[in-house]
Amino acid sequence: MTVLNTQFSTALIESQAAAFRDSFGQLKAAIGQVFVGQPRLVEDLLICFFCQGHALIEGAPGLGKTLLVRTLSDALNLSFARIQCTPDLMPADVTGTNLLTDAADRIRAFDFQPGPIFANVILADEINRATPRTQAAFLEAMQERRVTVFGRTYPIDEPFNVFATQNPIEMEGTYPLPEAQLDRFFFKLTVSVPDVDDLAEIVARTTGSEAASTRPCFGADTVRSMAAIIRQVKIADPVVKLALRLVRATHPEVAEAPPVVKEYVRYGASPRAAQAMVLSAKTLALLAGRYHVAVEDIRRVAPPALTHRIIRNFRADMDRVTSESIVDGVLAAAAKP
Amino acid sequence: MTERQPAASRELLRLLGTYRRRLQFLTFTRSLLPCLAAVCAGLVTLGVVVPFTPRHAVLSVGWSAALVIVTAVAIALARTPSLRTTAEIVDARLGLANLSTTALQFSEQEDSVSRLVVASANERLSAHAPKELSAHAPSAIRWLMPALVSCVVVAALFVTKSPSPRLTPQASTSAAAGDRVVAGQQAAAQNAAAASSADSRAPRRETTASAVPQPNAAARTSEHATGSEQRSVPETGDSSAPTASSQSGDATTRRAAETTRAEHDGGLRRDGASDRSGKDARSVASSVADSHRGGRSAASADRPVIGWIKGAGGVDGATPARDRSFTASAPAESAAYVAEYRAGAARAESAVARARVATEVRTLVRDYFMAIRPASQR
Repeated sequence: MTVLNTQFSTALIESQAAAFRDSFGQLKAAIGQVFVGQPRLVEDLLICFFCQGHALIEGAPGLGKTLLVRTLSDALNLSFARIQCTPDLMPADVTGTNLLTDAADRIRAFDFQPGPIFANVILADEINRATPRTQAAFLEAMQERRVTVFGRTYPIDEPFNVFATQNPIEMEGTYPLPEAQLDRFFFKLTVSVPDVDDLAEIVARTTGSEAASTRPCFGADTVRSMAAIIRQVKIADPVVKLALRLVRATHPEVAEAPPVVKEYVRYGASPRAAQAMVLSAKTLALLAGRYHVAVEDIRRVAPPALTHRIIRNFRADMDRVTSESIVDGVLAAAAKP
Repeated sequence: MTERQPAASRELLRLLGTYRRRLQFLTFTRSLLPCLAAVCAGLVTLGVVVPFTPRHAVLSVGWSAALVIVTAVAIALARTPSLRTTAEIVDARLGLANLSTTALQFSEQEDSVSRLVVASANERLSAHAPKELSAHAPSAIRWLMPALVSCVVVAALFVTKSPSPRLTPQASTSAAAGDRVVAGQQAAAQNAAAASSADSRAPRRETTASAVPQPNAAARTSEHATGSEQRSVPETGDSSAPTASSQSGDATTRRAAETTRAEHDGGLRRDGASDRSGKDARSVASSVADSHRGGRSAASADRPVIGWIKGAGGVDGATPARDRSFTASAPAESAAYVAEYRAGAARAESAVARARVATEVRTLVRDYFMAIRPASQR
């Protein structure tokens, strides 16, 4: 009987893993029907989504940041809300507030009206244009997955993902995200300029008579089951230690930090970076048909997990040393025995 | 590991055990080279300090080989990797992407994913063979091979070439050969009283060469050759090795000393440097050493001092006898002999003091001059 149960559970895991790969590929293909090119960006976004993490998408205007998130929400049968962040956006506009309403018996009472943060997929467009006060309204929701309004706490349904976009070149009138909020983003993804072929495809799709669209692939239950199977993937101690070494190497005060970190970093990544790396590496392992994480998975996900968590110093600004190059230095140093 | 351990986990441990044995073997093979180099270096050092006879050399090589193997086995056993280390090495070498490491860590867990990982690891490990773990010589020890070859060459140079009675047929006749050489020298000395030194030297060489054939003479000649001054006289003194022939070598030495004294008494002047004014005093020691090594002609005294020092030190195969006793009869007390003796002894002393001369050669020179000293100085 035990053998049968074992075989059944093993077969169940295998079928779940196969379903995960199918669903992932399905969703990726659905996004590809609208969003052209940049498969690595799409994959990272989906990894972040299935790990129940939040992503900060950075790119120049017109590169499709908003389109990518909208397409993701369209491809899923989930509730979607878009928050266009502006300087006059108030926290209550994000979290919701108590409104005085008339009850049936003509007794007026305050009734909580949930804000857009209570959707499954949130697009916080140009989040760096919101004031720090409004940005702080996202903090509790992103980390605790709940909102407290007037002393009362309201939980947010799973799945819950915040995808924020920001424009790195128009800094006038913006409020750069504080480190505490940056740390809450699972990944930071950068949208690069498409190549010629992708650009031609974009032009062809957007200038024709038919608008590209997609239809929902699956709903919240599938997403939750996929998120659950990710956490069952095994990871060995040496692989975990590599992730921890990478995180520690981003701190300039640590002895094993490479010279580029000691010279250009003011503060390194938090433990959330290690959590993000391990969880996303598990997703990568599942996608590769494995039930265990390899060190290459950790290396693959280290840049999007570490880049936005490294706080550079003034000298790095002067020498134009980017966070990406610092992470490359950290990875190179970790490769040495 | 308990009996409740699943069969897949046991299979995983068995497979990792085979890979671990392979790693042990690789450690053994990698350890051979440095061990061999160390032993060769030790042999060379020993050969410099204590010259080897061929028999000793053969024994040393045998014992060294055994020592190398035992040491390499000990190193391989001492450096046996743990199963976890084995799994990490296997993952890295076979490109298993940390599969073995993960499977080993979760082999005792009962959940489905752990069993899947273990089953996958068993499958992948079975698909490979332990022989696929090949030895990669670290770049840090790649210089050992040329160093080893150099050590072997140097060791071969330092091995004594003197034939022992059992190993070479010529050795059995060395004693008689020494006597024949001395007889030839004495005859030459007597003839030299009436003839010139050049005339008297040539036939003696022929006699010596024909008396004691040397199979390694060509090699030794090339070894000691310095320009045109190659040894034309075979080294009959090689029989002075500490064997039965050494006694005859001592006798030869004594007779050579007497011959030399006789030549001095007769007013002979060899073409060696011993009596040539202004010649480097080291040549005196050279002729002395040659004579001591079995009655070799002093004509080769012009050789550089390095050559005979090397020979006397054991390189050339002439192991000096340590307990020689010179019982030569008292030389004639001529004033010329005494003056010649003093001048030669002074030159030899200054030469030995100036040059880097082995202790045994110093003793040799001293004994020689003690043997030929005039009776007034005894």
